[in-house]
Amino acid sequence: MNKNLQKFGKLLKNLRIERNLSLREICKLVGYDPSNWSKIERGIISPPSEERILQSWAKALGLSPKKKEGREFIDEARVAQGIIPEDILTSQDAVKCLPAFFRTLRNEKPTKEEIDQLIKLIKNS
Amino acid sequence: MDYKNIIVPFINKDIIKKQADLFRQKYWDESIPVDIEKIVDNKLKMDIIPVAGLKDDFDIDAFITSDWNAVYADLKSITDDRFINRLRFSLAHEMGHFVSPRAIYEHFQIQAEIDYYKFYELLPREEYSKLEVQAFIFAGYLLVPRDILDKEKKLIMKKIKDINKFDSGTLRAYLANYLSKKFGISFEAMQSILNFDNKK
Repeated sequence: MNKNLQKFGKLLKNLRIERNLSLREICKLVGYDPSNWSKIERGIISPPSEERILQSWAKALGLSPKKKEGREFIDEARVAQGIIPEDILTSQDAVKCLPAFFRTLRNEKPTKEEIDQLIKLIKNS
Repeated sequence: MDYKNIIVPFINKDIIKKQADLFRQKYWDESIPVDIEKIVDNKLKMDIIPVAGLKDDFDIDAFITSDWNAVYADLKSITDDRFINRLRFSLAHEMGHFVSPRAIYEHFQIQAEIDYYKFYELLPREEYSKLEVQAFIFAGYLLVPRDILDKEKKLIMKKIKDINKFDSGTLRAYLANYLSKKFGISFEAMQSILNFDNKK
């Protein structure tokens, strides 16, 4: 079983229990199928990828999607899906890659358009 | 193991009541309805696993796994509020298996699928019924604490003006209608509990 899926599943269940919500209650709150929620908690299937859904889950679990804890929750979901979190991509990994890449390529400062294009490329790869 | 000759030990209802009361004291307070979903899910940290068609296709409301880590329940009972009381009683029933016959089940030494098949094929129906009946009694005691039931019964009976006109069966049905809502169980389950207590 995928370790990241299991890790996120545990996190999801712990957060739900901390909020004193039953499986039935949380699924009603967020309008999600209880069978699938249960599978996610048990690390059997991936959490949904849609940001909007993950944000609503974070809110229902008492986490503000705009604060660190909420972002971390969404990041964990992305990691479980095998998707690198968006902000990590844009602010850390992508930034780390870009200068090295350009230096190697032509040893010149890249234009804004070039950086934008590269970020798109990394995100979609 | 010779499953054919197994005799499931008879557990007196007073002992089952004690077990249910202890279980409730450990995992719940004195309020009603007893939130069995929270007990199973949040306190015992068991997985409640919804399964579509469990009731329609297999006529099973719920079952507890033999590793005692999860309860499978019919999806409809989780998603449809009309069946919530049924779900609650099913979960309490499964806790009856968890608390008492757990030791019995472990004694059966079911270690492989073949043992499992054998167990269900060979264990006499009458013996298996004991396990189910005892779990039903446990669920009744767990969800309907008798001290609270007595108080509620007295309260409602005071409100019935022409109580003398009721025969005992009708009175129990009347009470069951009111009390089932109070304790969050079905009318049928409440009526069975009142009938069961009446036979003491």
